[in-house]
Amino acid sequence: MGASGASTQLIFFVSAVIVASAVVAAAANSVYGITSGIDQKSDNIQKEMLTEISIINDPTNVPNDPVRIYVKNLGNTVLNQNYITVMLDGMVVTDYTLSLSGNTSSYWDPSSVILITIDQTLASGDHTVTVTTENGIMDRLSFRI
Amino acid sequence: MGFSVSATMAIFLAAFLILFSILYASVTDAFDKVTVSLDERYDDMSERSQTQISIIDVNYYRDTNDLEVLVQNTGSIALEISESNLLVSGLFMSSFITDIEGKTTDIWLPLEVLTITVNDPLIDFDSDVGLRNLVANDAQLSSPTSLSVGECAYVLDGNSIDVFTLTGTFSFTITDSAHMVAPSDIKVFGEYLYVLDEASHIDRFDTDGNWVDVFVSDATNASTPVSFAIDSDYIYMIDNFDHIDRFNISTGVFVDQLIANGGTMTSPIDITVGAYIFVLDNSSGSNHIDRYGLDGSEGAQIIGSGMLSSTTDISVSAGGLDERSLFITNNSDEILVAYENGTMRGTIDEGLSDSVWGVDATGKIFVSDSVNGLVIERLGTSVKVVVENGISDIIML
Repeated sequence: MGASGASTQLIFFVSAVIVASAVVAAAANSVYGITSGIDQKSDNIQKEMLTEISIINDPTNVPNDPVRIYVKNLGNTVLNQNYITVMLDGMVVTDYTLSLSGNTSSYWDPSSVILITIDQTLASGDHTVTVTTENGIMDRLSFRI
Repeated sequence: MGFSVSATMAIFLAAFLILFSILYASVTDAFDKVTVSLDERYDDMSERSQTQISIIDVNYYRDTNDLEVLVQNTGSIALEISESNLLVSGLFMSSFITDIEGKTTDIWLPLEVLTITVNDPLIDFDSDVGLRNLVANDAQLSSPTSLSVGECAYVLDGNSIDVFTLTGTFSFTITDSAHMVAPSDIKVFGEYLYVLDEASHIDRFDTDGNWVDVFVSDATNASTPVSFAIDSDYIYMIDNFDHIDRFNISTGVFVDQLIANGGTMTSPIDITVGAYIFVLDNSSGSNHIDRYGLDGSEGAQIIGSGMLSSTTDISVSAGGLDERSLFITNNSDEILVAYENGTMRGTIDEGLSDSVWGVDATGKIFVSDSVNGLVIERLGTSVKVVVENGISDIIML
C-alpha cells in the first residue's frame, strides 16, 4: 500500500504537471497571438497616422495627354510608391509611369513629390483622380478639362 | 493529491505572471506608439494651422526670360524653402532658384518674401480665362499711345513718358523738352529706352529716364522714320511709309534696306520683331498684317483686312514664352491675339474702352487706353506654390 500509494501520488503529480503545462502552453500560444496582433495593429495605426499625401496639381490646369498627377508625401514616414493605387474617374489605372522629384532615393521620402504619368487623353468636362497609398491613406482631386 | 494541486496551481500562477507581463508590455508598447503618433499628428496639424503663404506678385522679364514669383510667408512659423514646390501652367517645375532679399537660405521666416526665379518658364496666352482684367491706372495718363514693357511699363503720353511698375503702379514721368520734342514711338530693350523723336531720329535714354545720346540719325537712309522694332541684333525701322531699314543695335549705324516697297508691302505703319518680322501694312485704307523672315524674305500676308479695323499697334510676345503670339489693337476697343502664322487665338476686350491705342505683352498684356489709362490683362498662366506641409497659394499671371 505504501509503495503503491506513492506511485499513485507520483502519477497524479506528473499528470497534473503535464496537464497544467499543456494548459499553460495553450494559453501562452494565445497570448503570443494576441501580442503579435496588438504589435502589428499598433504598427499599422502608427504608420497610418504618420502617413499623409496630397495631390498638389493646379486644379485649374491639370496637364492632359498625357495626364500628369503630382503627389506630395506630407507625412513623416517613407512610402513605397510602387504600392500606390491610382483611380481616374472611378476606374483603377494600371498603365502609368512613376518618377520621383525632390530626392535621390528610390523611395518616396517625406516632402518629396512623385509624378504619375497616365498615357490618356481626357475629354472635356469634370474629372476626379484618387491616389491611395499602401496603407489606405488617400487623396482626391477634382478638376475640369 | 494535495501536492499535485499545489504544483499545478504554482505552474498556473507562474505562467499567469509571465504571460500577463508579456501582454502588459505589448499593450503599453502599442499604447505608446499610438500616443507618439497622435502627438506627431497633432504637431503636424498645429504647424499646418500656423502656416499660410501668399503669392504677392508674379512677373515675367523678357530680357532675361525669367519668371519671378514673390511669395510671402504670412503664417507664424518658419518654413523650409527646399521642401517647397512650384507649378507653372499646371506643370511641376523641377528647377528654380530661390532667395530672400538676395540671400540664399533654406529658412523662410514669417513675413519674409521669398523670390522664386524660373528661367525659360512655360507660360503662354490662354484664351479661356474668366477674369482677364487685372488692373487699370489712369491717374497719370491723358492720351496714352505707344507703350513698351521691360522691367517697367513705359507709356508714351503726349510729349512725356509715364513709367509704371509691372503691377500697374505709377512710378515716375520722363520729361525732357530738349531731347524729347515730339516722340511718336518707344521701345525698351536691354539697358535703354529708345524714343523715336520728331519723326527724324532715335534717342536713347537709360531706363531711369536720363537722356544718353542720339543713337540713330541718318537723313540719307532714314528720312522719315515712322515706327521701329528692336531685337538683339538690329533696329528695324519703317521709313517714309514705304520701306524697312535695318540699323546695327550696337552702333546705330545703317546696315541695309531690308524690305523694299511693292510686292507684299504697300504702306507700312507699324512693325514688331520676334522670330519673324511682322508688319502692319495699309492698302487703300485697309489694314493687313504681313510676315517676313528675319532676313526680309518670304513675305506673305497672314491676317487680311477682313479681320482688322482701325489697327494702331502690333506686338509679338517674348521669345521665352511657350508659344509666341501676336497682339494687335483692333477696332479701337479690343486686342486680337493670333498665332505667329496668323491663326486667331482669341480677343480681349474686358476692361477696355473704345479708345484703345497700344499693346505690349510679356508675362501680362499691357494696353494703353485713352479712357482707362494703362490696362493690364492676365495672360492666363496659373502659378501655384506649395510648401512643405501642403499649404499652397495660386495666382493667375
